[in-house]
Formats: sequence, C-alpha cells, structure tokens
Amino acid sequence: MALHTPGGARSAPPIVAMRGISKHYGGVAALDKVDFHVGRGEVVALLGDNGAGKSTLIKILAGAVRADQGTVAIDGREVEIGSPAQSKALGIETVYQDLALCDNVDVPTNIFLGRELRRPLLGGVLRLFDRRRMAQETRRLLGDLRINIADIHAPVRDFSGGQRQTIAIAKAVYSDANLIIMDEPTAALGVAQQEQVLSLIENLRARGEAIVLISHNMDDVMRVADRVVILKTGRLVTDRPVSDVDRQQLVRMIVSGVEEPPLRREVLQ
Amino acid sequence: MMEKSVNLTARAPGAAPRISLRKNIEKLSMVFVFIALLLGMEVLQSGFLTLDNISLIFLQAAVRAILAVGAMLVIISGGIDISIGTVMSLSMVVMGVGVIDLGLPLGLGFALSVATGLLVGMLNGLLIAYAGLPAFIVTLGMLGIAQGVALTVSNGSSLYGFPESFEVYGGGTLLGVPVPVLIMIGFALLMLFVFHQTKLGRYAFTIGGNEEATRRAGVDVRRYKLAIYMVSGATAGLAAIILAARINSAHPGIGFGYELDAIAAVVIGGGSLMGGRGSVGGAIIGALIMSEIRFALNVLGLSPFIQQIVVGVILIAAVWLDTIRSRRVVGRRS
Repeated sequence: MALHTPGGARSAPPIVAMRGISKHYGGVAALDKVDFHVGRGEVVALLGDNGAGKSTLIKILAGAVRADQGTVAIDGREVEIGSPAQSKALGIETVYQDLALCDNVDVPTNIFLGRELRRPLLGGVLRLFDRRRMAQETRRLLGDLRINIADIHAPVRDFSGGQRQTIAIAKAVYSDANLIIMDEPTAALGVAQQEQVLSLIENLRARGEAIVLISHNMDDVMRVADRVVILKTGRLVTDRPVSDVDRQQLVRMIVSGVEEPPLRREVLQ
Repeated sequence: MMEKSVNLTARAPGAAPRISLRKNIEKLSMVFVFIALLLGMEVLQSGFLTLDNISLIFLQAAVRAILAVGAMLVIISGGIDISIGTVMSLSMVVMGVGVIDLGLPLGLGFALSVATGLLVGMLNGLLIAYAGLPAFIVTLGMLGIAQGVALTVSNGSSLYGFPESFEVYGGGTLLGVPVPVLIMIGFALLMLFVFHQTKLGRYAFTIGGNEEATRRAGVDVRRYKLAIYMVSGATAGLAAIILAARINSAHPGIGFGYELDAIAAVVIGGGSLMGGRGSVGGAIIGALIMSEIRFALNVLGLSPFIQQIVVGVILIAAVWLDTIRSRRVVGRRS
C-alpha cells in the first residue's frame, strides 16, 4: 500500500474550481460562500452530516440546482451549468447508487446506453448496432481499469453489488469525464465488494482522473482520499490533505463544525 | 505503481453458453408445449392431427401474433396497452367506411386502418409519456373510447361490400402458405429488426429495466415511450386488415377480447409484465399456443362463452408463473 505524499504534488490548475458558492432556500443558507476544487489524479472526500450542504454542492455541479452566487471554472475557464445535460457536456459524471444501470441488459448495452456505436449496411441505407465493437471497447475499458468480468454478455443483475458498482463507475469513466462524482459508492456493499470499489478508485487516481467521493465511511476516506473537505450547515469547516487528519479528528469536525489544528504526524520511516 | 488487480470473476468461464442455452430452452419449451397440445388433442380426438388443421391454427394465429408482437414491445418497456382489441375494431370500421362507403382504393383503405391505429396509439403515448398518466388507466379509457367510436361510426352494425380482391388477404395462399401467415412472418422479421437494431427496441428494454437510468444516460425517454405506443396502435391497425379480410366485412364488435389473447400470448412467450424481458419469437409462439387452445376448444365443442373463461384462466395462470419466475431471478442476485 503506497502512502499518500503529504500535501500532494498537485501544482497543476484544478480541473474543477468552485469559488464563493452560495445557495439559499428561503432564509436558510444551504451553502455560504464555499470554495471547492479538485485536481487531476486527486480524490477529494466531501464530508458532512445530513444537511451540511454537500448534496447541494454536488447538485450544482450536476446541473440540478443553480447557485445564487459564485463561479464554477473547468480547466481554468468559467462555465455555466444550467442543466444536467450541460453538466454532462462539460464532462461531469455522477455515479448514483443503483440508479446507474439497467439490470436486465448486458454490460456493453449499459456502457453504451445513449451513445450506441453503429455501422452502415448496404452503403448506409441501414445502420446496425456495432455489437462487436461495443463488446471490444467494453473489454478494453474493463481491462484498462483492471475490472475482471468473465462474461460481459450476462445481464447486469447476475453480478454482485460490488461488480455492479464498478461497472457503473466504468460507464462514467468511458464518457471521458473531467470529474467523476461518486455518491456513497460503497454503501450497502459487503467487505470484499467494498474492496473492489476502493481498488478501482485507486486505479482511477493513478490514471489521472479527478474524483469527488461522498462517503459516511471514514475508513474508506482515510484509505483512498488525498484531501478532505468538510461542510457544516453550509459553511466550509476545513479543506486539508488527508495526511493532516486522523479518523477521530474527522468525526469530531463533522459533528462539531469547528476546525481543529492540523495533526502533527510523526514521520514513521 | 503497484500491480493490483480487482478480480471480479464471479462466473465460471463456461457460464456464457449456459446463459444463452437457458434462454433458448425457455423458448424451445414453449415449442414443446405447442407440439404436446397437438398430440394431446390427437389422443382426445383421433384424426385431429392433419396438415389442414395445423395450417388453420397458424392462419388463426396470424391476427393474434401480430397483436402480440406489438403488445410485447409495450410490455418490455414496462407498460401495457389493453386498448389494442377495440382499436383493431375501430381501424377496421374506419377502413370499411373508407373503402365501402367512400369507394377509396383498397391500398388507401389499408393505410387508413394503420393510420387510425397510429393516431390512437399517439394519443395513448402522449397521455402516458408526456402527461404522466398510468398506462393501464389511459388504455382502459381508450378501450372504451375506441369501442364507442367504432360503434358510432358503423351505426352498430357490420359493414359489407369490400371488393372481391380483399378476400385474398384473409383466405388466399401463396405457394400453399396462407397470405395472413406470410404477412405475420414479414411483420415478425420487420419487428425483429426493430427490437434488435433500432434505438426504439433497445431503449424499450432499458426503459423496462431501469427507466431512471435510461433517462440519466441522456435518452429522451418520453419520446421513445410515445413511439412505443404508436407502434402498438399501428400494429392493431395492421391486424385489423387481416381480420376484416378473413370475415370479409368490418365488424365493430369483433376486436374486443383480443387484447386478452395478446397479453396472454406475451406472458406465455416469456414476456414479463414487470418489463425488461421478452422477444418477438416468444410472442409468436405464445400466440400460436393461444390459437391452438381456442381451436382445440372449438373442436371439443365448447361454446365461445366457456372459451372466454378458459382464456381468462390461462392469462392469470401465465402471469402467476411469471411472478414466480421473476422472484427466482431476483433471488439469484447476490
């Protein structure tokens, strides 16, 4: 297990940068001048209790909610995210628990849902689905991500929860996503299946993907995240490398909303 | 970088052929049921098993099979269309008025029949996909509306006087094969293409499997649902042509009840009322079995009243089996 380099060598401009984001519902501030950014090859854990504002922040990125104030920039360019379609077009993909896959069809059909590959027949009079190429691409994608699925033509319901989650994530990756948002990717999974998903997240980081991880599981966060961002009642509590906190501190900050000084970690080696 | 592989092998390497074999066995077993019923009838009524009788079963299956293939598409998408029977009556009456009363050429009459079904299907689809009303209620209402319009337009009586050439589409043969059966085969081939090589067919499956996931993948689900009900309506319009040609008239009350046969055929043929599962071949085998049962009941001298009861029982039994089957599929999920 490789140790995360403290602070991280994250000098490149962030792939997604949100600045001064505010969102009010009536008199209640769901988000109050929150800054949030994610770099390439970085896994950022977005933490907070229920009502902290993390889902509002994610919905703004996904185009489901519009911010009252603040800017969003992708690759340094300021953008408008007015709809889910715009969000997708900007390369932001969200993987929701159990909402991502059609159980009754096979893996390629799921991966290529809404973007099927076609091939012309009779000089383009008819266009057929290019099943062979979709299967090849699926195998290549799963191979690249080191997801081992023996029979991609089995209906997705035949797979375990962990496999289904990795397929859902692979589907997001195939979109050439700039940013992949994972909402509780290990919830409701067994231990071995959680391991599959966490390994995949590590693989994705190594490939340079930018990932936002929403999780209630502190062990997952400590293991795969590079940085933690904690919200409490719409305000930013802390934004720091995961090497500067421990598990107990994370839980305390999530509950209290009071930032604690960075952990002075002894150098082990 | 460490070499770390996520090993997700849950299936034996030999699992792939097992799946496709299992799929085919389900369809094959229905072929066996069809044959077993034929043999059973031969035992009950010696001399039943003749080429003429088998040809008659296929001939009578044509209308049901065409309806069932359309119903299959709707049911795969997780919907239901119970208006197809009376829409078939309405299409037939509109064609009858056009050809008999207005003297339109037969070809135009056919187009009128299909267009009528298409239009009613569009109304169904708009109400279901865009207004968000439950498919069962919309098509139940449409069942009544189509029946009422058919009776009103025809003054409640059959329309006679189609040109002589019309009978060919009901009773003619080509190389010994009844024309309705040829139309059924042609339609089945067309629908095989629609099911497997068009977005309409593919999305019918994914909408039936997970409508929300299909929407999130960027598919305009409402548009495809509308199209699915339009196909179903048009299918009723096509079936109306054959049925009218077989009775050489347009009867405003003849279609009611066919929806029962079609839905039963879908479920017997492996379609699931929960959506997401089914096939063209299954719908046709299901329709053949339904026609075979009707034919056998006729031969045994049971009245059409009793036949209604039998078909109702078969429908409920088939759905019951489907529920058990679905539960087993869910149970296989780890």
